[in-house]
Amino acid sequence: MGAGKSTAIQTLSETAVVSTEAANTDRATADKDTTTVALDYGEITLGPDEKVRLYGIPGQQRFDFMWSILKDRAEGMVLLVNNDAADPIGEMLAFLDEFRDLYDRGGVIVAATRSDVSATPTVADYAAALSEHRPDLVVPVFTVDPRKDDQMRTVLMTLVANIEMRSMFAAPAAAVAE
Amino acid sequence: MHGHETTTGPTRTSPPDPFGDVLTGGYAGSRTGTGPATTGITVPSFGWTGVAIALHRLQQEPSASIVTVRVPGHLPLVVDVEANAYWWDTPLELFPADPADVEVVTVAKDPAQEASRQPGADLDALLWLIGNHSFLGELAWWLQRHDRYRLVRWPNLTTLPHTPDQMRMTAMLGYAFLPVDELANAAETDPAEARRLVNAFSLMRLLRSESPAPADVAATPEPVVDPAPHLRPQRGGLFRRLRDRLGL
Repeated sequence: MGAGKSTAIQTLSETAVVSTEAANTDRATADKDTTTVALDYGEITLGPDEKVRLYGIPGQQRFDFMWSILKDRAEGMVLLVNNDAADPIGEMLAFLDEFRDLYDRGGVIVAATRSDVSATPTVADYAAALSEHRPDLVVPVFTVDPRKDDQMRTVLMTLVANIEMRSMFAAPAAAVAE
Repeated sequence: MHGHETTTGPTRTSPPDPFGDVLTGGYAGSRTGTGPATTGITVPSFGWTGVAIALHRLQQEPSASIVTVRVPGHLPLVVDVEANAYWWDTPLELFPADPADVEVVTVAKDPAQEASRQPGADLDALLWLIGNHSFLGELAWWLQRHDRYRLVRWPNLTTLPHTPDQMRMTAMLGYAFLPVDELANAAETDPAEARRLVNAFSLMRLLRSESPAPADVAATPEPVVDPAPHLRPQRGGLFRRLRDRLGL
């Protein structure tokens, strides 16, 4: 909580974001008035019949019913981690276990927010923990300010590039050559 | 100056042997006067290549040294490889991509001066720029054309100026060991752009490498003109459509 997922969706979406926020009753974790209780939703239109749909889902365990709905259908996930949290690397690894299928197929990017507030862990620290967890995968890890268009576009484009390259390099040559 | 100099004075860096005369033209104090006859080709200045070489040497042989770089029109740039930090009044948005004349001096650290220095900026962003603007689009001399390279970790792209092609090539290097020629072919980019990217990643220490067996090198056709079918780019894919939509 407090990583900036609602802001991230608002920054990327071309439409007014549908948000379901409620009063925050957990001020110890994040000192803000409201928090996402179901999801945020935004869109980027690519053509008459094609949209990139953006869903922001809450991170607290009690909302895991939302995770199961999306994790089987999503193409990719940007995991926003609050760098100012008590154990951001532990949180990251716990989430990646939950979203293992997406993780395995290259559909995950880790984006550390609030690195201006807390400079550590560094992106290298996150990458080292990820490498220890899955030495065969090189997961992109960026710092990001969810309010900034250019940074959120870089995050989204990298996610798409990573998914496409994963499918290219994982595909058996014989199957693709026909 | 920053402590005891390990060189005899503020010297311009010498071009690396592997590039020999190619890199010496137009370079004060170089071998242009005694080398082969000129060919009529305008040879670019040495630019950031000497800085890249000096920094790479310190990366390979760590020592308590700093590198001072003097670029005309700018205050000195100070780099501490050991601390992964640099100090420069010039913001990187104003990075001089092709300076006419660059002086590089490696000096021992002065403990008193180090103690009074403010915390430096993270070196990765500077190494990214130096790597992309050195070696004239050729491979850095410590890299090998036939070696295959793969990322150890991604660069922090939100903090680095980059192109969509660089992003795609980075994603490729995240999944597979690739020689630079094959990387360029797979990404359908100018081979010089692939070499610049690999140079930058090498300088940022983001790469691991594999060397092919000598027999494989001898058998490698050059250049690679047609990537393996499964490495053909998906130019019409979602990445392309999203890039067009976002105006990147």
